[in-house]
Amino acid sequence: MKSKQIMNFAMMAIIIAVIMFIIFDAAFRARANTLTAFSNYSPQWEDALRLPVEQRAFDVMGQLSSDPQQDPELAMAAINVLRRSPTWSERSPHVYSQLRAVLEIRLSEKPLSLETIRPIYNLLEASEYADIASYRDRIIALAGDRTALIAAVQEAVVQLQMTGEDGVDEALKNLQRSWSALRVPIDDKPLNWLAANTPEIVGIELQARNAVERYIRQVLVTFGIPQDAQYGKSIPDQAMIEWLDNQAQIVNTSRPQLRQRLRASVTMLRMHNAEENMDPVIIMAINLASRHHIVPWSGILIGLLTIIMLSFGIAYAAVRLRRGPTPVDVNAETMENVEPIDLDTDAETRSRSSASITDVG
Amino acid sequence: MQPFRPRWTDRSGAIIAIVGLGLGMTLIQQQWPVGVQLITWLILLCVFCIPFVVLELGTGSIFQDSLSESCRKSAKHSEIVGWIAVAVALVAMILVTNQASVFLGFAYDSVLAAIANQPNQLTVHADAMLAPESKGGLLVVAILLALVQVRLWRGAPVIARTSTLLVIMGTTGVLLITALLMLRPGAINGLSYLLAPENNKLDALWTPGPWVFSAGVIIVSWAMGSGALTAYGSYFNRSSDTTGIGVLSVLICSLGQFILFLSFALGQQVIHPGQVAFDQEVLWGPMAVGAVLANVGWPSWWSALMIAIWFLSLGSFLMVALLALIEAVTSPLVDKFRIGRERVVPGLCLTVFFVCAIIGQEEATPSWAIDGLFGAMVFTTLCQAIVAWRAMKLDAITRHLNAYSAFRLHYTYRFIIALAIPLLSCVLLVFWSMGKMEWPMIATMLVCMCVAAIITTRLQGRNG
Repeated sequence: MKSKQIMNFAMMAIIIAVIMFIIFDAAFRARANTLTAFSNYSPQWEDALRLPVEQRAFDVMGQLSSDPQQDPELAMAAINVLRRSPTWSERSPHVYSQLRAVLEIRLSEKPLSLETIRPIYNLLEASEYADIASYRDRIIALAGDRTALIAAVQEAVVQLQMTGEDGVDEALKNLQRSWSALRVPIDDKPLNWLAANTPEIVGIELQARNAVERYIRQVLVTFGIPQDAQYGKSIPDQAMIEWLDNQAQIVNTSRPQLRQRLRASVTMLRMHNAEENMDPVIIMAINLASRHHIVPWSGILIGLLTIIMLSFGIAYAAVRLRRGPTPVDVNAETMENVEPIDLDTDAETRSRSSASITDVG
Repeated sequence: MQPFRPRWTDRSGAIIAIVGLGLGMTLIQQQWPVGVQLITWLILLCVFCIPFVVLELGTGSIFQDSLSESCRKSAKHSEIVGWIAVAVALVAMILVTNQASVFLGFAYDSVLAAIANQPNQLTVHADAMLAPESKGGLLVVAILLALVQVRLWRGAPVIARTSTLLVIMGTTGVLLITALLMLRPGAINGLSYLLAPENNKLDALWTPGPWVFSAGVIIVSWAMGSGALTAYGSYFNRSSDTTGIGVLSVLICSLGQFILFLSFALGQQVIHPGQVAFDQEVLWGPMAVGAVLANVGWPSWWSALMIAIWFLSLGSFLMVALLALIEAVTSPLVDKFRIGRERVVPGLCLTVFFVCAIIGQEEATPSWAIDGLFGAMVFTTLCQAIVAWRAMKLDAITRHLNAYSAFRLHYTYRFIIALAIPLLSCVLLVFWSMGKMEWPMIATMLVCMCVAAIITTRLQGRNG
């Protein structure tokens, strides 16, 4: 490729990049300006200011009502402007009819896409649509009947609370299984956001979380941490941390099975995003109590494999390199005599004169 | 080709410069292989990494030119591949500069803290204790680039000397800190975390996850500096054993990387009072080690000194990588346009300084740059392998390398270069694009590249 062609290429690339940048930047700035106008909007503004913003909001709703997923933030800002505007009573039937029509179409689609339904429902809800409850019930019904699953979780919670130390592993597994089953789709019907927030499901998940947390604290009692310990969320108790640090030197060596149970409990809470409310010092206590005291055999194997392979490779390569090239046919074909397609002959080249010459560079 | 081409004075300096490049590039990654990922990492080192490094060094040595010129000589219309790699090296250079300035800034602040016998910034509740903080990020960048450009003026011999000094310094520091961490409670947990994490069983070897992850680690460590490898290769004589040098460099660097992974794992698991406040398990490896050193209960001046050593060591590796990346951009410009090094290097360093000054406004290292770089790098690797395959010179290249090497490259090498690397790159590109393509700027960049390439090809056709 010649210099002129490179320049052509570079100029083309720069021009195209600049054009694309301007297009993206213009779209981005227009959106940012619209959002700023919507967030600053007040119904008390004088008409000359207010009416263009309302008209823009109406236009945005017109564009986005068929697919608000394109820009949910802008759509929500537009509906908030429209709802507060004095002209809402005139415009609301039109907006409602558009949103309802789109929602009906989305609800009748096969297969259902919750990602497209949710923004439209949110817009209807934000616009305080009178009959929103009917849509809510329909969407909740889409998740299927989960009464039996809720009962299974309830049963597993009771089992964990009532079981002694012998059956606790089984109880933890049961709870993990039933809790996960509650969230998986039934007959291709996923647990949507509205169904997940029904009092029944929220309640049973709270029960399950509390049961696991109670169990964790019960295990930590073994390590000397009171069952009702409260150490605050952001300021850890220094004395307690030091005490835990000392404890960590000795605990968990005699009863390694507790470590597995603690890990299983925390993993369960983590899977269901129920770990956030735990006291930080309790999390640290779990980390300390559940830490390894030995490296598992698989770890030792992997470590040895890595170190041996790399060390052996280095030693072998160094010895071979020091020994120099193996004796080869001095008439071996090289780049110089095979096909000097475009080799720059100005290069400094040291040709080998015999098999005994070793590398210098 | 430059009329006067600087040469390596000895083999060890070149090997250390290559090792430093790999170690430095490791430090711009957010995650490292653990458990079974180490096995896949080792396998891919042999299957993917060593052949790639040998190819880059070998082509540099044979063609005695930088990457873009080597591509041009290798096959028609292929020079663009080299220039894409140069662009990637330029962006990687900015990332490495940013990262090095952060580490060196921490090291400087820690020295201040050690002199004043005050707690370091990484000490828990350091704000309340008024930890000294210089806030001189941009000044650090300026000093760093000034140092780098002075060392780059005279080319290979000075690069080798500087790299040797920095890599030895960095390795000593990392080994010292790793040994100190090994003596702390929780060290066994760190070892287990690195070698056998709970959720990472051997069965995972049969899933694509660890393979893709390890390939990504290797790509970021080695392929970003492919231009540097070719430039370094061109500073050898044609009769040099670049195969052996490539193999040895990759293996030594991998051992160094393993020690770095170990120190990061220890940093994330060693127990100390600040563990809750910092959420140690999710803290980034180098920072996690810093947090441990700041909070294990040593006297303030000793902690600060250790932190300074740690960040200075990491900064040393990054400086070697920076030298290599600037060389990767410098050498094509020098070779193609016959401009003197003394003009190109300061120009480049100034450009990087201003870009860093603009990007430095952001709090964190821009992740989009890493994502974009990774994709572009996979693309470049694929292109380079295709160039080698298309040129049908691989056979001749192999024969040439074999003639001067203690190692013998067999047909498997050709198979890997011509088939396995393109295939792996395609898989990575698909995985990467599945997760990242929604970002419009990356798509724009790719579209720009494609359109520009098509137009250029057309222009070439018309001219022809």
